[in-house]
This record gives sequence, structure tokens and C-alpha cells, in this order.
Amino acid sequence: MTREVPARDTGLQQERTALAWRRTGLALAVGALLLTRLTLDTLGTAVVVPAAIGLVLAGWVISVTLRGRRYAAAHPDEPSFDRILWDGRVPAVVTLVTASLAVGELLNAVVQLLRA
Amino acid sequence: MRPAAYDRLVTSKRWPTAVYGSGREPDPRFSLANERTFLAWIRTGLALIAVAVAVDALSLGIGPRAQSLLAGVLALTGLVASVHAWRGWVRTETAMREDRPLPGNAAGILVVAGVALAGVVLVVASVLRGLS
Repeated sequence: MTREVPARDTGLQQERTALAWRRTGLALAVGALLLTRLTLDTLGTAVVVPAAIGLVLAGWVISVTLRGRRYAAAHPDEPSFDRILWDGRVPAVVTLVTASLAVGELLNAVVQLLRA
Repeated sequence: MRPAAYDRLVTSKRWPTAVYGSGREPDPRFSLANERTFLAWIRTGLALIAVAVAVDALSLGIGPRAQSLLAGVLALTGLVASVHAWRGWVRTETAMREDRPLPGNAAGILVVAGVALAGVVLVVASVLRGLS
């Protein structure tokens, strides 16, 4: 079976996707720093843990997507697949961390609501 | 003609197998677009969580109870957005691989409802504060 190879880089898909990953990495970093600053009073030194996890993940997301040929390993025989998404592992980790940030903040809000 | 190694790589080593176990590789542009949609939802979730944290930490002058309620609604909406990011990515990628129509965006209404509810809480709490 032959595939119609799309014109390379139509619509700058790879660049747009790489930029979207970087925006998300930066948003994660900002989120981690904001969380650190605003929960410093309630959590004390324990705040280092979520902050470190968030910052490390943000750095990892940015560095993974800065690597030029991230997708190439999946498709060595098809140049048009140069940068296609390898699989769902990175999205899964990013989802897990974002969801745990939300759960943490949700628990915090519920505890405060019960105390108020 | 694609080499056999290509199809093996596409189906065997990639996770989750629920997505990559069946179907054919879609046009890479569509997989990349699906990836960007996922990232947009993640950023939406992160923004909602950031606002929830800020509401929790700053004083809005609407009382601690309303403020915690507002933070809780926003955090819950952020949770929905991030879970939907993953679920939507999986469902869309699977549909594209199996050449089926794309799933709808029904979970989006939950995020709309969450943001609207947060607005209602803020308005009601502000009005009550103003009256008392």
C-alpha cells in the first residue's frame, strides 16, 4: 500500500505543535511558582515538594519538545513522519500532574470551607 | 509498500494500546492537531487551577466561606478540564485510527457550567456583602 505523502510541513504543523508544548511547559512552570508563593504561609517548608515536582516536569516538557527529532524514532522509514507524536506517555504524565494540582487545591478549598 | 518493521513499531511499542492497538496511522497533521487540542485543554485546566489558588490566597472581601466555595468550584472545573484533555485526546486519536466520525465535545458543557457557576458565586457573594 502506498500513501500519498503530504507536502512537507503543510501549515507548519510541527512548529505549531512544538510551540504549543512550550507554552504548556511555561504555564506549568508559572503554575508551580504561583502555587509555591501563595501556599507558602499555609504549607510552610512542605511547599517545596509540589513546587519541585511542577518545575521539574515543566523543564522536562520543554526539553523533550526542544529535542529536534522527537518523533523520528517512531517512523524511521517515513520522512513525512519526522516529528509525529510518539505515543501517549508524555500527555498522560502532564494530565496526571495537572489533575493532582487540581485535586490538591480542591481538598484545600473543602477543608477551608468546613472550617469557615 | 511500508516495511513490516514500521507497522510493528506503530502498533506494539506505543502506549496506550487501547489507542494504538488497532486501526491505521492517520495523516500526521491530524495527530499533531489532536496533540495541540490536548495541550490547549491542559492550559485551560492550569489557568483554572491557578485562579483557584489565587482566590484561596488573596482576600476578595466576600467572606472566607464564599471565597473557599469559589476556589473549590474553580479547582473542580480545572480538574474536569484536565481529565477531559486526556479523554478527548484518546477518543479522537482512536476514532481517527479507525476511520470513524470524531467524538463530540460533550464534556465542554461541564467546563462552561463550572465557569458560569463560579461567576454566579462571585456575583451573589458580592451582592450579599454589599447588602449586609
